[in-house]
Amino acid sequence: MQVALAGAGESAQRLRDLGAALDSLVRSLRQSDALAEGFGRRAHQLWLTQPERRLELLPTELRGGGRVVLAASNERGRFILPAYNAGLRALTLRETSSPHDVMMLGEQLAVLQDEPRALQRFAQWLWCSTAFGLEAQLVESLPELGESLVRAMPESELWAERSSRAVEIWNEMAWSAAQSLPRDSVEQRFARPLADAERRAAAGELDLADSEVGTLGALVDDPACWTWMEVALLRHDPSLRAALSPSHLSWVLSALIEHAPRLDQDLLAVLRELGCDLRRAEGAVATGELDYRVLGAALADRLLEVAVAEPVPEPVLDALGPALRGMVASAVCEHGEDYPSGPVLIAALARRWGVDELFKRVDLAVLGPVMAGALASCGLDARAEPASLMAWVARLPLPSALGALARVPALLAHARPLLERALSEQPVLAGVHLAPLARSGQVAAALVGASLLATGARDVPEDALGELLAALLEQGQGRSAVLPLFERTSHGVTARRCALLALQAEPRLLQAALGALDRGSEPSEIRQLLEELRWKTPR
Amino acid sequence: MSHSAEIEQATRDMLQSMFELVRAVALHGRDHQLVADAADALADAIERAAPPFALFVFADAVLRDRTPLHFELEAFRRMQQLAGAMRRWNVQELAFEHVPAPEALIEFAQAVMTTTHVNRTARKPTVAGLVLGAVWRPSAPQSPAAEAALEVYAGVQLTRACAEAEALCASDAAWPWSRAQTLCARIERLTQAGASAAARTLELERPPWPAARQCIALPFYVGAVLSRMQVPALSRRALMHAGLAVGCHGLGAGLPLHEAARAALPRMLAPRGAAGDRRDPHQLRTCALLAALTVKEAPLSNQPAGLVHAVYEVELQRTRAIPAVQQSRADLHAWLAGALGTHVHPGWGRALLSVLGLVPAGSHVIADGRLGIVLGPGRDGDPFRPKVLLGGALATPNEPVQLHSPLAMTPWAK
Repeated sequence: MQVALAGAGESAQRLRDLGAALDSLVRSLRQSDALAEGFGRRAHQLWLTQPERRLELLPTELRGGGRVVLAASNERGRFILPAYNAGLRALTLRETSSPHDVMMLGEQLAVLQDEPRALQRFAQWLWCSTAFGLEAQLVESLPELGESLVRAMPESELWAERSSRAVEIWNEMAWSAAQSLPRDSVEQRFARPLADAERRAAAGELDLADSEVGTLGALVDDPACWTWMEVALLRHDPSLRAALSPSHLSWVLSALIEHAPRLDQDLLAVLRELGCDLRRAEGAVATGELDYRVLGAALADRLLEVAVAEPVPEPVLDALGPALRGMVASAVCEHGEDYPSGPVLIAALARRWGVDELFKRVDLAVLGPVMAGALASCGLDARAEPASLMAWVARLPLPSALGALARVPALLAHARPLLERALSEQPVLAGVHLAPLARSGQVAAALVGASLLATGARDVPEDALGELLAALLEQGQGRSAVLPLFERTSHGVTARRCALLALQAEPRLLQAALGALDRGSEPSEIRQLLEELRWKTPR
Repeated sequence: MSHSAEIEQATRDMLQSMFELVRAVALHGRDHQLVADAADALADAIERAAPPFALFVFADAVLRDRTPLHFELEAFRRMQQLAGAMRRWNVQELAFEHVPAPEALIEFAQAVMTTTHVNRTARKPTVAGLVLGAVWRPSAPQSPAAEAALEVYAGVQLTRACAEAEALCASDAAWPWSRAQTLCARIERLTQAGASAAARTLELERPPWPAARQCIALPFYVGAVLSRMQVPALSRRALMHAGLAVGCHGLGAGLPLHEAARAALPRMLAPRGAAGDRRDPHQLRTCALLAALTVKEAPLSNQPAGLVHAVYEVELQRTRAIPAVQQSRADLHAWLAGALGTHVHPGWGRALLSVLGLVPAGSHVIADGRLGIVLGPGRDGDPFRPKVLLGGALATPNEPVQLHSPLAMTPWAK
């Protein structure tokens, strides 16, 4: 949505940011710079927010949506020309991609920039889809172009030669058949089937409808089918596991978690068999180990799906050790926002693993309002002090914090400082996100109204303020919040105008506002609005 | 520096000298002493580049005698002027039979400058010692000349592919993944360039076909079906590669599919030494499919297996159904239509029947009363009025064509 609403200038800037992040990624990888991972994550994030997620390669430019993403120069984008020479024409980032895919691409581009003639290696890397999250459009590489060129020739000679060859082949095959088969056999084995096929073709019996094309295409690329085939082979040939890169094996296992018929002990047994240490202790992941973040995220998604329709399988939760618990908890907090089962699952995890484990794991920056509220509720259930929980809520991004308050009324008693600080320091954001909080109940509305009066709604945008005041009126806060906002002449003109406009929904309050005024001392904007309203309002 | 590296460097230096001559002509006019000096320098540079040789010049690539020249960014940008002029002349090849005279080089530089800066419709110059010619490359716009060039391209690529497949079939050593992937990528590019051209070139070959040619037919037809369905690359390529593998291990001996897969799988799983033992997603997927194909009933229950099975059965029919008789595409088409739902999966069988048209490219037909060969889809999209080659000319017949199998219509049977 952000992308859709972004102006052309903003989109162009985001594309340039993406180009800069990719360039920085390649440069930092070439210099073995520790910042590479950060650049990879940023590039992935920026790329993922592009509407098409497709970058096209020209010999000296990377383009997206017709705009320049990165132009090659002596200092920047020096990998573009070698990548183009390798036959790469476009790269599309899949929605299911991870920052790791972009990191792997960066590593390959860094090697290619250092060895710009090693085109075949890069092309084969792309061809083999080693980075699952990237779809590459490949054409012939530079050396392959050399063997593809055809000099102009007299066309008529070529077609005459082909024509006579076709006749010769027909004669040769016909003679050979006649030597090997009697006429009856020829008739039975070839002539009749051919006539029958022609008849059926003409009747449309051999056509393939577009819907059938779609169905077959989906079936042949069915991820569940491929996962089962791959897992069956890995189980049959254990030595093959060691030949897979850890990230590759991690993705196979995560696909297994996603597509297994049930999330149960059988699945856990297969995961163990394939090298996943479910009870793994915490600690830094060593090179060459499975990517437990990927596995944790897959388990979290599967648990969220399961929890929509049935109880969370507790034996599965009990089977996980500290490392996977941490990854699952973190991923549930992040992804739970997209599932109706998010709050139920987080409650189940809190019961089985303890609420402290969840608070320890959650990344505040990515926690949304629903899961923030669910987690705060878990904290209250575990008898945490509302004041300490409120302190935790206050560290969340403002939309999540206000969303959590809307879902956990028990925290409202401690929320006023947060609301007033939000209105003072982030009035634009607060203006947008306070309306849902005000609508969540009368207590919340009273609190929002009081905070609004205390700050005078300074710098809250007009449209957001209108929405917020409407919410306060709906919750019966007209007399205590909206009317005073207008009446106090110390409040800004914009806030007072908005209040007066909002009061139109409550004619009695509007009359009260109009009756108690000293028109002469009002600023001209208010006077003008009063005139309009008096004229419109019957006495 | 090796000889080839020296030659490449000398050629790049020559192109730099040519750029400087064009610039001198643009700045000073053709009669200036600096221009004469630049022409002499270019003549020396051509001498060092050791003619005869031909440059293939495109906006995105320059090759010398089909070998790529690798440029730094600035040098690449300087090539654009020459590439732009040649594009306007509709030529891509610049051949040096010997070192041209300095006056001829100045003439050429003047023509480049004029075409790119003065008169963009200027005609191709005729300069002594320089030969300019047109060259086709994949993705070139369609035209009658391009159609013919595509035909030649398909023939060359198939010849190379057959040689590569023959090497794969001949060895029992661990599967050379890299070479096999290169072969699959070649077939993929050939299909992208023109599936119909590839099919007719594949089919128009005298019998008996060697097993290597049939091995090419497998990944080609599998890939053509899946490309039409826009199946993502990872699955499409795994199916093509599995087709190639079963072809190499089963078609020569006429093995059924599951036995061909059983013969192929150990070779594909065999360790290849420390450096080559990493299995990428393509390899795992290909091996997983092959492992699934080792089960005789797989084509009934497994969708990817169903397609490989259908194509494999068609190829077995081609050479194995009747001893000493090879079937044409039209006969195979008829057999496949009759085998739907019995010998082959009905959906995949029809996908295979329709991928190159109900009257498929490469089959013999009677068109307007004459024997012809189907080149590909016709202009109006009518499957029964495809584009045909009739008596050495391309044509779209007035009346619907009829398949004319040499086996079914043989006049010599007794």
